Amino acid sequence: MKIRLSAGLLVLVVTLAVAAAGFGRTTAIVKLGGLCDLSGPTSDVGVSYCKGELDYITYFNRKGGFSNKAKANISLPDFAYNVAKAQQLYAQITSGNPVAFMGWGTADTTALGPQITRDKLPFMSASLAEQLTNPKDTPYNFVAGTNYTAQAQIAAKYIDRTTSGHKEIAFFHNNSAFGTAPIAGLRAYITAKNFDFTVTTYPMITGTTAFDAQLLQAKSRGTDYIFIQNVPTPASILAKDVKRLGLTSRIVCLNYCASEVFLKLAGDAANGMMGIQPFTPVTFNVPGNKAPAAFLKARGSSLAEQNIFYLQGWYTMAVMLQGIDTLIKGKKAITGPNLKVALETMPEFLSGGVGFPIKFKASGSRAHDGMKGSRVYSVTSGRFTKLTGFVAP
Amino acid sequence: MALRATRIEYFRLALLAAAVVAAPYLVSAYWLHVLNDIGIAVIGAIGLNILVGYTGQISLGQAGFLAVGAYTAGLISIHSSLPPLAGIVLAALVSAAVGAFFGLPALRLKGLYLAIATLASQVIITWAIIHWQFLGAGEPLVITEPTSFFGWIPVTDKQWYWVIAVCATLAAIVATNLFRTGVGRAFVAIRDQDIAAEAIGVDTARYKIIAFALSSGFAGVAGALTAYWTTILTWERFTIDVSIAYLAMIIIGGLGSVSGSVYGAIFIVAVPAWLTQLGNDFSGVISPQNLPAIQLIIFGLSIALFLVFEPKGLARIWQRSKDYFRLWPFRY
Repeated sequence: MKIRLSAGLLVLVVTLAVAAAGFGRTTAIVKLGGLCDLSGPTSDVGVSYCKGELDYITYFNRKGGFSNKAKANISLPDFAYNVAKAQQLYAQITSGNPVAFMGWGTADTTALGPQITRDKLPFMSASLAEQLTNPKDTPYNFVAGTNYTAQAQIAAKYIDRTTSGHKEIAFFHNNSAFGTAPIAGLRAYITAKNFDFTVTTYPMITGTTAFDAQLLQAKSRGTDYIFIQNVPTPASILAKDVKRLGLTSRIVCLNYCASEVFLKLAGDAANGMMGIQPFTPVTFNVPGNKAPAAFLKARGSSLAEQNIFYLQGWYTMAVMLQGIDTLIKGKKAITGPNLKVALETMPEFLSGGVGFPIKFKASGSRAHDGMKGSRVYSVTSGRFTKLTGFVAP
Repeated sequence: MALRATRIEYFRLALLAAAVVAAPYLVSAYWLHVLNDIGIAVIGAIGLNILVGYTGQISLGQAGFLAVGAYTAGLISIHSSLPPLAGIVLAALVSAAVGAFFGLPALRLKGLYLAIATLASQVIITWAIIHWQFLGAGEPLVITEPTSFFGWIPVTDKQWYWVIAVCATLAAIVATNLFRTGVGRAFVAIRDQDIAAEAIGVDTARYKIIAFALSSGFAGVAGALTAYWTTILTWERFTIDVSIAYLAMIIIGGLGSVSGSVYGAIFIVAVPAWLTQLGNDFSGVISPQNLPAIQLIIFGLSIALFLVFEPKGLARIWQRSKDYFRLWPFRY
C-alpha cells in the first residue's frame, strides 16, 4: 500500500513537472557572435568597450528585447589580438549560425574580411579603419564611429584653420594595421588641400617603455604636432616622454588615445593635448548617459568608474540590435543580406549626444561609416573641454 | 626496404590513416579549422627540425620564412595566371633562396650568436613586409582569384583539410627519406661532430646552406598554404611569437625526429585551442582575462618540463611506451 502510494505520488510529480515545462513560455534567442581583446595589446580599450557591449545586451533584454518577441545573446571570447586565434574562434562561433558579429581590431577584422563576405555576416567592429567602410570592398563590414583617416584629416584641417606657416607633424602609431590605417589618407588629404605640412611616421613597438630615440629625432626636425594613433597605455608613456624630454610639440590624439584612461595614465603630461573624438567623454552630462548610468548604478557602479570606451561599446551594440529589431518588426527573416539592407536603410541612430548621429548608406566610399565627423577637444587641468562642434574633413 | 617492420606497425599506420580520413567528418567546425592549422604547422615544424634537430643549427626566423612563402604565393596569385601548384613550388624555391642567403652568416656562427643572426632575419623580413611598397607596405594582401587544383576549387575548411593533409603527408615522407640519403647523413654528422665531419670530407659549409635552404623551403610551402587557405595576408600572422612557437613544437615533439615534429605541432596548436574552448565553456569559473595567462603558463611550463624530464620530447615518450608494451610483462 505504502509503495503504491509513493509510486503514485512520484508519477504525479513527474507528470506535473513535464506539463509545467511544456506549458512554460520559451523565448526566442537571437544569437550574435563576437570577439574581444581582454588581455592583449589593446585590452585597455577592450575591457571597457566589451563590458559596454555586454551590459547593453542585458539592459536591452530587460527592456523586453526585440519587440518583446525575442532576446539577444552574445559571448565575447578573448583572442588577445592574435590574428590566427581570431580566425579559429570565428570558425567556432559561426558554426553556431549567429545573425551578426561584433568584431574587434583592424588586423583581425581585415584578416576575416574574405570569410565575412563569403558568409554574408554583418560585422560591426571596434576598428574604425577606413578600408572597412566601402561596401564595394567589404560589403558586410560596418563601422559605428568616424573612421581613423577622417579623424586625422579633421585634425589637419583644424590645425590649418587655427595656425599659419609650415608645420612638422610626427605621426606616432601602433605598429600594426590599426596604427598605419590613417597615414596614407592623411597624406593624400594634405596634398589635395595644399596644406603646408610634412608628416613623418614613427612606429610604436608594443612593449616599448621609452620613446626617447624617436622623440629626439622628432625634436631635431622641429616637430610642431605629435599625432598619436594608439591605445591609451603606450600613448601615455609617449606623452610622459614628451614632457620629460622638454618637447614643445602639441600632442594630438585620435579617438582611441583621447580618453579618460589616457588622462589618468598620463597625468600632467596630458594637459594641452588636442583630442579628435567622435564620442563624448563621460564627464559631459548628455542625455545619452542616462540609461547606462542608471544601469551601472543598479549594479553598485557608476559611469564615472567607466570611460568613453564603455559608452562606445554600449551604443555600437545598440546600433546593431536596432538593425535586427527593424527586421523583426517588419516580419522579415534575420539573414545577413536582410540585416545589411536594414542597417543601410534604417533612419539616423541617435545616441542622446554620446556620439554624432549614426547613418549608414548602401553605396559610396565611406557608406558603411556611420559617423562622418568628429568634435575636437582640448585637455586643460586634467579635463576635456570642447573646442569645436561637429567637424567633417 | 619495407614501409614498416612488423604487423603491429602496419596496424598502427592503418589506424593513423583511418583517423586522418575520418577526422573532418567527426570534428566540429572549430576543430576542423584547428586541424588545418595543425597540418600547416606540421610542414613548418618538419622544416625547422631539419635545420635545428638534424643539423644542429638553431633558428629563430621560421616565421619570417613562412612569410616569404606566403607573400610569394600571394603575389603570384595576384599578378600572374600561374596555377596554385606552381605558386606553392615557387614559394618554396624563393623561401629556400632567402633561407640560404640568411644562412650565409651561419657558417661562422654557433649557438647564441647563430640564434641572434637568425632573429635578425625575422626582423628584416617583417620590416620588409611592412615597408616595401610591392609587398603592400603593411597593408593586407588579398587573394581574390579562386585557388584551383586541376579544376577543383577548395572553398570550405573541409575541402582545404584534404589539400593540407596531402601536403603534410608528402612533407613527412620527403623528410623521412631525406635522412636515408647522403645529404641527410651529412646533416646529422654536422650536428654530432662538425669538426670530425669536416675531417672525413663532409663540406660543412655547403651542407649548412643546404639545410637552411631546405628548412626555409618547407616553411615556404607552409606559408603558401596559409596564403591560399586564408586568402588574406597580414604581417601580424608572422611575428617572432610564431618563430618561438615553432621552436617549442620541435623541442616538445622531439628534436631530430619527423614524427616528433608532428606531435609537437599537434601539442602547440591544439592545447591553446582546447584551453580557449575550455575557457569559453567555463567562462563563469575561469575569467576570460586570465585565459591567455593560463595558456602562457602551460606553454612555458611544458617546454621547461620536457627539457628537464624528457629532453627528447614526445617522440621519445612514444618510443618508450612502445618498448614497454613490446617487452611487457618483462622489463628487458
